[in-house]
Amino acid sequence: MIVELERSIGSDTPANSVAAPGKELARLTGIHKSYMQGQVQVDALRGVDLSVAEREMLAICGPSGSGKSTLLNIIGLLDEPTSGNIVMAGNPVLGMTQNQRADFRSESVGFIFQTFNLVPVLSALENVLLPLSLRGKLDKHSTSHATLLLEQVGLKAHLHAMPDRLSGGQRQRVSIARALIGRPRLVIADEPTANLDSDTSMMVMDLISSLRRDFDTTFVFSTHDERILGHMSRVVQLRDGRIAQG
Amino acid sequence: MMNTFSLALRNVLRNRHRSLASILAIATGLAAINLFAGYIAHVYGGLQIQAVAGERLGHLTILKSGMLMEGKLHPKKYMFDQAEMARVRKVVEASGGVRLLSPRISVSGMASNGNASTIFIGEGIVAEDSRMLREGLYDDAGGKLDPAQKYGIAVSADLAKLLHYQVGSTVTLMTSTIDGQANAMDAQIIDVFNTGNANTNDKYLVMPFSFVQVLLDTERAERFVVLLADETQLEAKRKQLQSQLAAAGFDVEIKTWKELSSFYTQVRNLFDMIFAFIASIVFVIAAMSIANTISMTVIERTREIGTVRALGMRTFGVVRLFSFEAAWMAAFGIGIGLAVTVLLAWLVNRSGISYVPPNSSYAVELLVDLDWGRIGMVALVVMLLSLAAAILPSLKAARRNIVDALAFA
Repeated sequence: MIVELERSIGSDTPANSVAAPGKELARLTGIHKSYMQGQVQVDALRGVDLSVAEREMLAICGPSGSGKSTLLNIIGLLDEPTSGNIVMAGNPVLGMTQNQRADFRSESVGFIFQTFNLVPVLSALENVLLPLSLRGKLDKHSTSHATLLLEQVGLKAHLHAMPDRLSGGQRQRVSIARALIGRPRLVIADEPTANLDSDTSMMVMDLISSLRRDFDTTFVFSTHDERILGHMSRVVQLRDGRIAQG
Repeated sequence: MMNTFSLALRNVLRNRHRSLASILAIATGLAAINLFAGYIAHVYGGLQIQAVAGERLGHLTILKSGMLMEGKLHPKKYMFDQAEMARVRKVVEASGGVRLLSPRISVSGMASNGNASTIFIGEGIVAEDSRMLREGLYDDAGGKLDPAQKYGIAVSADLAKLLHYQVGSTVTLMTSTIDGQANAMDAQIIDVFNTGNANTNDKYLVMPFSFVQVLLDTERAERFVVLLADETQLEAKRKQLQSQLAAAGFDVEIKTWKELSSFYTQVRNLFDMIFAFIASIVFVIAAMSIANTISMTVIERTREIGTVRALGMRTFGVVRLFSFEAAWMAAFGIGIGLAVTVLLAWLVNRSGISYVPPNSSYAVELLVDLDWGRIGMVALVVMLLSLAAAILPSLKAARRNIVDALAFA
C-alpha cells in the first residue's frame, strides 16, 4: 500500500490555520470552544481554522487535553463551537436544530469510536444496517450490501454473531462497516486503535486505507498513536487548543 | 430485520431481571384489580337479579307524576283507574319490546295470628305476572303465589317466625281502605320465603293483586311494572314510553329498577369508589415501576443512546424506543396479569367460599365473574400510563449532550 504523507505547511499559511490540499469538504473558521468544568472555564479550542479536503486521510494529533476530540466532535456535528463558523460541502451548518444535525449526520457522516460502541442487542449484520434503518433507507438490497461490507472487513463467518461474541478487533471492523454502509462523505474516527493491540491496529488501519479508496470517502482521525500516522495523507498537530503544526 | 419495536423487545429481554420486576408489579396489580372487578361484577349481577326478579321491580315502573310524594295522602288522585289501566296497557303493548306489563298495588297494616300482631308491608301482584318475572332467574326463590288461590299469600320468613305462621296457617290482615275506612280480611299462607334482605324479611308479604284491591276497597292500580325483552334498552325504552304515554295524555314518571332499588345504588356506589381507589393505587404502582425501570435503563444505556444519536437517531426516535420498551413491559404485565386473573377466578369459583353480605339474611357464595369491559379499560389505562411514564426519562436522555453521552462511563 502506498501512503502519501503530505504536510501542508506553507509559508503563506497563517498560524493556527491549515488549508486542505484538494477540493474542500469542510471548512472551519475561528473555532472556539469553551465549557465549564465545575467552577473553572476550560478553553478547549482557541481559534482553530481548518479545511478538510475530499478523500483525504487527515489525522488530528496532540497530547491529552489538546482539544483533538473536541475538534473532531465539532467536525462530526456532535458538538457546537462556542464561536466560529463551519461550512460542510458548501453549506453552513451552525444554527441547525438538533434534528437537522441528526439528519445531516445520518446522511453524510460515519463514526468509528474508540470503544466500538456496537449496540449489544444487535448482531454484527444488524449493527451494520443500523444507520440505514435510522435513516429509513432499508430496502431489499441493504442486507446483501451489509453482508458484502462485512465480507470486505473479514467477518463473513460472523454475520450473525452478537457483539459480546466478537474480539476487540472484530468489533472495530463491524464498526468500520457500520460507518461506511451509508456511503458517507466523511468518516470521523476517534482514536480507533486505542483499544487494540499493535497487530490488530495495523490490520484495522490497512483496512481503513483500503476502504477509503474503494468508497472515495474522507476520513478524519483523532489519535496520539504514532504508528498509524504513516497511513495518513495529512497530519495536524494540536496543542492547548491551537493548531501547532499542520 | 429489526425495527424500533423489535429492538425495544430485545432490550426488554436483555434487561430481563429489571424488566421482570416491572412486569410482575403490573401483573400482580392487574390481577388484583381484575379479580375485584370480577367480584363486584358478580355482586352487581346478583343485585340486579335480586332487584328485578327478587324484589319484583321489573326493569321500569310507570307511576303518575307525584305518586311517590303525594300518593299516600291522595291515593285516588294518583292511582290508575280501570279505563286508564286499559289505555296504558294499549300504549305500552303497542310500543314493542315489552315482555310483561304488570299492575301493582302496595299495602301496609297489621298482621295478626289471633294472639299477637305486627306490622306488615305487602305487594299486590298478579300471580301469573310474578311467575313470569322470576322465570329462569329466580325460580327457586320462594314467595310464589297460586292463581287458583284468591286469598293465598306468601309470608316472609322472619314474619312467619314472629307470629308462628307456617304454610296452611290463616292470617288476619288489618288495614285501611283508600277512603280511610278500617278493613280486615283473612288470608291463607301458601308460601314462606326469605326476602334476602334483613330489613324486609320480618314484615314483607306477597299478595294476589285482586286480594289487595279488595282489602283497599278499590279497583285501581298504583303503578305498572314493565319487564323488557332487552334490558340494555332500559334508557331508550324509558324515553320512548315516556313520550308515547305523554302523547296519550298521561302525566307519568318512569323509574328504572336502579333508581328504585336504593340498596343496589348504595352498594354500587360503595364498590365503585373502592374500585377507583384500588385502581388508582395499581395505576400509580405501575407507572412508578415503569418510570423507575426506564430511568435506570436510560442511565445504564447512556453511551448507547449517544451512539444511536450520533448515527442519526432523532429526539423522537429515542423517546419512541423507550416508549416501546415500556409498552412491551406493560404488554407482558397485562398478559401475565390476565392469565393469573383467569386462573385465580377459576380457583375461587371452585373453592365454595361463602359469606353473609351486609344487610343480607342468608349466606352467598363468593364468586368472581370476568368483567371484560373493566379488564379492557384497566389494561388500556395501564398501557397508556406506562407509555406516559417512559416519556420523561427518555426525553431527558434524548436531550442529553451527545458528547457527554458518548463519554459516559
